[in-house]
Amino acid sequence: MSPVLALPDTSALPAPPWLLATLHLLTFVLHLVAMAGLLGGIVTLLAVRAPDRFARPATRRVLGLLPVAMAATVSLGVAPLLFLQLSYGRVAYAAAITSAVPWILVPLLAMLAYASLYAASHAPADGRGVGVRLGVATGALVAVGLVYASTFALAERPDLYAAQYARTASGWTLHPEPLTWLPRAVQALAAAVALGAFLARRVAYDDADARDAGRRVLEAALVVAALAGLARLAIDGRLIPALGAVGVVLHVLGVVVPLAAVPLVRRGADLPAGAALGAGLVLAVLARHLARLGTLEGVFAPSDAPVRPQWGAFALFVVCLLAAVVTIAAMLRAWFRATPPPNATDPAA
Amino acid sequence: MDFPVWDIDVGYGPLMAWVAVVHVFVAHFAVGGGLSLVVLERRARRSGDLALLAHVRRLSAFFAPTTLVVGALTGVGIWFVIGLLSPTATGVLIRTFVWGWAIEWTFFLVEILAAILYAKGWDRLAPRTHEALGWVYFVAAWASLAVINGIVTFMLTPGAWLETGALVDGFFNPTYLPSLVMRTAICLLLAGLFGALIAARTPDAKDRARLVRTDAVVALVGLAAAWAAQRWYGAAVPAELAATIGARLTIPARALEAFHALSLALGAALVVVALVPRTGRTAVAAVLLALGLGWFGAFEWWREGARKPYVLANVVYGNGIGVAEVATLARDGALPAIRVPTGDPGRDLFLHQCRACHTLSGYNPVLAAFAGTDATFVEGVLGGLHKMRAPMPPFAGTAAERATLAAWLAARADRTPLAARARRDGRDLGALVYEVRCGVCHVEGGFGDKGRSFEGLSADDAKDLLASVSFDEMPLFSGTDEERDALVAHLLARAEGGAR
Repeated sequence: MSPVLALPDTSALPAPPWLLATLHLLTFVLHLVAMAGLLGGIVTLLAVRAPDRFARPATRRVLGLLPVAMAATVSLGVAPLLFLQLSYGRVAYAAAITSAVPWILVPLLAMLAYASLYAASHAPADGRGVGVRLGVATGALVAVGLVYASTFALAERPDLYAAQYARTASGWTLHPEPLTWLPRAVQALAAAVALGAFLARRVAYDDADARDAGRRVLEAALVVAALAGLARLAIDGRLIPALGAVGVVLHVLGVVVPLAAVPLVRRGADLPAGAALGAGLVLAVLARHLARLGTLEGVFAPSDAPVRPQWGAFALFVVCLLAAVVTIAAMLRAWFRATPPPNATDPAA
Repeated sequence: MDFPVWDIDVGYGPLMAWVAVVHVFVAHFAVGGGLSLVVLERRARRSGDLALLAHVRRLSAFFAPTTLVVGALTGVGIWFVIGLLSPTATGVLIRTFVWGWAIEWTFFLVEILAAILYAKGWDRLAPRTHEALGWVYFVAAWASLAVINGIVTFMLTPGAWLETGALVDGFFNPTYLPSLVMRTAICLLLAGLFGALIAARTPDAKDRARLVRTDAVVALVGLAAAWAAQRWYGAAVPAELAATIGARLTIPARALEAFHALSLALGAALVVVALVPRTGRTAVAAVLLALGLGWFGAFEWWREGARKPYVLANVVYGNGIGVAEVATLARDGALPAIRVPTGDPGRDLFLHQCRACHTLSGYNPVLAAFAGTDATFVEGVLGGLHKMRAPMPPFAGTAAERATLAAWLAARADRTPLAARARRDGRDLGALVYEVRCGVCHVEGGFGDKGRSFEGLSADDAKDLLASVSFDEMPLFSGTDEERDALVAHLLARAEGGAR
């Protein structure tokens, strides 16, 4: 073997950091919407107060959408993970290696959740066993959320993961300061549940009990998310300096704006309520981005890397993305335009 | 050396292999199964074959959850695992091919939605629309395979990219086409194997026989094409890498033998099922599937093993050290380059230079290899890693760091002399001493054999030779006098034709 000595430089980013950050944040928001629909849908179903709660047409409709929401969460989660690794690989991999065991469990937990949701959506018509299956899925998804929150919070603290690694390289550890990342996880999970409950409420539009459950879940989750979000400012001494003035405003708005959904939903003004929840999500993601940059300032910045853009390949990606969007729209259009045949002429039916 | 190293007593290779083999097995079925579904659906509708249509529907009910839950999530699992095991190489791949992965993601989105709507749409969509969704699914799934194929083959054969750095050169590398043809054939094979598993559960015996035969024939065609494409693939591997297989790399050589043997076994079994389809019951179909898994695993093991000592051929070594970095690290030192140290220099050197392939005493252990030796010997071995029979990355560090690692390893190895450990003496002991101290570089009758150097020498001459031959890549003999005498006896007996 004769290794080539003058190898191409592989340290350069293939696009300017601003473009990568934009793509990361955009795809991350899409991932969060799907994840919210998933978590909120499950919690709303579990909160319906009726003995036949898993046997009603509306709740079965929500139930049937949960595996789809899971598929969307996974599919839409691939891109932000890709762009995150590209921009923050040095600290993200280091944190993941320090927490290797919980990190590697994430796909297994997701698989367990996915399988449970499939099983729940294919449960007998009387709804037997659905509660347990949803409970398993919830547990697995919350565990994934906690591992993510711990790992990505750790990625912002190279001093902590270095100290942790010096103690043990076995990978059996989480972020050693739970008071900094647990409230963050609670805020994210509760906000997701709130948005998802809102969506589930829309899907179960013709079932008063389900809509009531959705409203109750939404209100409770928003309060929990707001309290956790505000508590973080008080508990995590690094957060306010990291956010800076703009970031603090975005963070507080991200906490407060979604609360407007509570009275709006009670008044039946779903469109503005949805807008408030969506705005809250975007604000929270932007604040999160600023917090990450601020916390890592002086230690690591994606913009430190050299850039050698691959514009041709990027253009091809844009073309493929547009083609995918058009194809997806066409498929959904065909789906929603179709109705089940009244008398099945299709021999497969 | 930007990253910590995960230190557990589990081999990185097997961990990666399990996740990857399960993923590729299901992912290739996801492509081939998609084609099989839509082609069979079309055929069934055209001919009004209700049994076939019912079979396709059952297959689609199995297909969607299997490919979405297991296929998609093991794919994500690969991301999680490679980031832990080879963060440097993963970083290089992502920076080089991020838009490739991003393009693949757009196909993935289409593929996932099409799979869901196809599986759910039997009673809702018009037949023509349903079939169209099936085609959309298959095209997106195959396109996704075609993109990932470019990145996977780059790892073995980066080709002209090494000189030009051009994305197109790296993507359309020397093994891109044979690999794509082979993987497409594998998709067909797996469609047949999984299809047979579902067909075997058809209630009516006549229909079952007909469906099983169809799937067996599809699988046979896929197997034959894949086998032929593997020969093409093997021929496209650069001579410098291919030459090491067998002579220096035993794993890919054995994997290739297993691949051919399993091709034969699987082919024979499929012929029997195609000719006598009543044998195609669930248990038989499950055995065929297991054979297919082993066959596919053997191929992947060959492909992965052929890359050694690299993880990205000629770019990054298996231990995550860049080929271009070695000279700098040898000059300036490896320890200052370790960004996240443990605080123990010997351990840090072990983790960054060795741990990707070896544990201390678990998987592929190094301490067992150094048992009964000493720090001088270990240091010598570290100096000649790249000259060993099994291709290894060179030690990337200064002479002082090499001594530090050697002392750290020797202090942990069993220091009981070989004679006492093995309870041997005379030429028996000599053979053991040869195996431990010489055999990793000089295989008797094989790679690097220097046995003829001792022809015509007296015992004293041979001892003098052992005491004088030493250079950076060859340790001076540092065993006990008893070991030296036994080794000399063994070497001289061999030189005189005294095969044991």
